Amino acid sequence: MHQIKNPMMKLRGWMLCFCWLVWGTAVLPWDTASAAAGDLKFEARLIWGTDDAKPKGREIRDLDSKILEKLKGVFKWKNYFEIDHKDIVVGKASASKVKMSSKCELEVTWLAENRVEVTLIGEGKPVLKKKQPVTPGELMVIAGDSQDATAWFVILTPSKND
Amino acid sequence: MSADARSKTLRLQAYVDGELDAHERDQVQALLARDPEAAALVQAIAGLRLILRDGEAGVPMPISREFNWSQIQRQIALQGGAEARVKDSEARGVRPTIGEWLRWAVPCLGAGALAIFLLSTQFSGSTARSTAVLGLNHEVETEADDTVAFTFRAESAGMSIVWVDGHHDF
Repeated sequence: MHQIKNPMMKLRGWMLCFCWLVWGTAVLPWDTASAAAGDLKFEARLIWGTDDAKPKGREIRDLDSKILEKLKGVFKWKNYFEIDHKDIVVGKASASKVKMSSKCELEVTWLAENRVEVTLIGEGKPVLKKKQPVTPGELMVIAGDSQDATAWFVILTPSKND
Repeated sequence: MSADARSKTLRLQAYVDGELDAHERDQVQALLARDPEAAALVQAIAGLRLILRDGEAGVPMPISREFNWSQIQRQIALQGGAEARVKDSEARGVRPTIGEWLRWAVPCLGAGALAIFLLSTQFSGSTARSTAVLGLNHEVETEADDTVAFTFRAESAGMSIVWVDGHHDF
């Protein structure tokens, strides 16, 4: 095993660690604050929950494993497939609207600080509005029953700021 | 008295008391017909039985003076206690005191507040065009008339969930 025997080399190593520590404590918070001052970013997913196998001939994708595990831990369906996946960028000036399917739209409005209003629109008509704070890592789920004992899920996940 | 005589007397006494069966009774009646001494004894036993049954004088138990007074004092004490309770409730105007009110009101208010808190933070159903204010600054407003939404939070999965029960198909 290689060992550093030169005291000057050892000192250089300690200095390097110290510099990283200073940068981590002083620069990172400023960097985060500047990112928070920008737009809010979300990933929106339209998901279909079913006990049946993945249907052939439909353009649906397997769900991200982390989200899949979380859904399976809460809901009763055996399988969850992603119908659509969109990125949403929300500025302070105006609301952002995305089309998740031919019948489903999602509108996100930044209210203040870390608080947003999410509006679920079904066939052009508002179905539900939800106001809540944005918590990193927390999934905002709006869901309901669908035909043939299946279910739909609209999941909004806050993305990390650049 | 010889053994035979004692046995005869007992037999006659049993006859008077009605303790013999039909055969024995016939035997005794035959004896009485031929034995005047036995008939006289039966009459004597029957007469004595009649006297004991109808003419026994009642003998009252003697009541001591102390016992008599203790009973009077007990009655006075019982009557006094009842009157005191009546006067007490009359003085209070039949209405419970503040302490009695608080004894019931405090637990009831506490249970009510706890129920409201739990409902507002854990689970809430909102009917059509209504707003539900949830814990952690969550608010849900349903827009369609036929939509009912239930909101809950799955802590372990890190999810805030709104379940829409309105037969929407996306």
